[in-house]
Amino acid sequence: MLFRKKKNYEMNIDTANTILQNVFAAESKAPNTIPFDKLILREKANTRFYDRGLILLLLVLLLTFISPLTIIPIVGISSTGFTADSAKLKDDYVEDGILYLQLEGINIQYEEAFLETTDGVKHPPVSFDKSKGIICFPYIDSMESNIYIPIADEQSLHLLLTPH
Amino acid sequence: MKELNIQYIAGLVLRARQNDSDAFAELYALTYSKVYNYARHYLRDDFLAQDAMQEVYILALKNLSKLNDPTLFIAWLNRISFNVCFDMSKKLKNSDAPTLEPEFLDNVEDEYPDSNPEELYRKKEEHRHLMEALEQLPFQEHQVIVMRYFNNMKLEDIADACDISRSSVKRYLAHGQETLRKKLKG
Repeated sequence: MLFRKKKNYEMNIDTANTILQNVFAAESKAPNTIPFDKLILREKANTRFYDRGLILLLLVLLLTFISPLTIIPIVGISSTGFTADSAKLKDDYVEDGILYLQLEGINIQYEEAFLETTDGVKHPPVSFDKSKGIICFPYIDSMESNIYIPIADEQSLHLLLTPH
Repeated sequence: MKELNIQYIAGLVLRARQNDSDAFAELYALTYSKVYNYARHYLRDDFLAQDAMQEVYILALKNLSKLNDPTLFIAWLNRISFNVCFDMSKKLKNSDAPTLEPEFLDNVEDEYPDSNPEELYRKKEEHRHLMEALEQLPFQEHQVIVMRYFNNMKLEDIADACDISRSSVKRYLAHGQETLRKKLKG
């Protein structure tokens, strides 16, 4: 049995108070001046912080566990944080098994661009049109691909292709 | 079960030692549920558990000045609870045995063939050795072995009484048995 409810026996406050008074009487001690029910309330108040902390901790744990579900898979093309300043992706679409990327910017080295699949195979561009800023790659829908488009005197424009 | 603030409890113990009844009452308010739950599981009777609880706190109040480290109050109270319940349970078992008149015993045939004085002495010695070995075990192991084998409690009940998991009970039992076996062999 993985989860089993604990069997806890509880004593009512009146009986507990009677026993406490018996204890004091047995040892000839003065009884408590603060009423017993107030002591119980004080104890509950002291543990309220603990209870809230526990609930908060459980919430954090729950959020941690479900966080992978909250990341929506990005479909299509996304550029990484290491992109070149002088070039950016303007548009992308797939037609007849070819991925068309429309770029905007200067000093784009179209002829040195390549697409690399996650298994390490590199594919050169199928074609490119410098005047329109369009470069075409084979569309591989079975795995993710990285596209590297070198920019002269700058870091490459790095695009991540996540298939639909 | 919420873990109690040890330092706060130690402060209450110090105050209670100076005859501060409110401090003792607060210690009682913080701990009585756990002690009652333990005694109720152990003795399996409401009224006996209440008697045991009263006895536990009378002993605690009487001996509070003997507790060297006030931060160990909870562990100390647990030991008192165990000892009180153990003694009560033993007394109950003894009182359950029928008391017979000596004249009646003369007319009854001995139904146990091994109940000759030598055998009885040997058994008593074995029992004494066992009890001595048990006393040397760590408290938790001693406690669960007594509850399981002397008091015939289920693992679940022991776990509920001691506020530990069932697997911890099994672990204490296994380790305690192993230690006892070694001690009794040697």
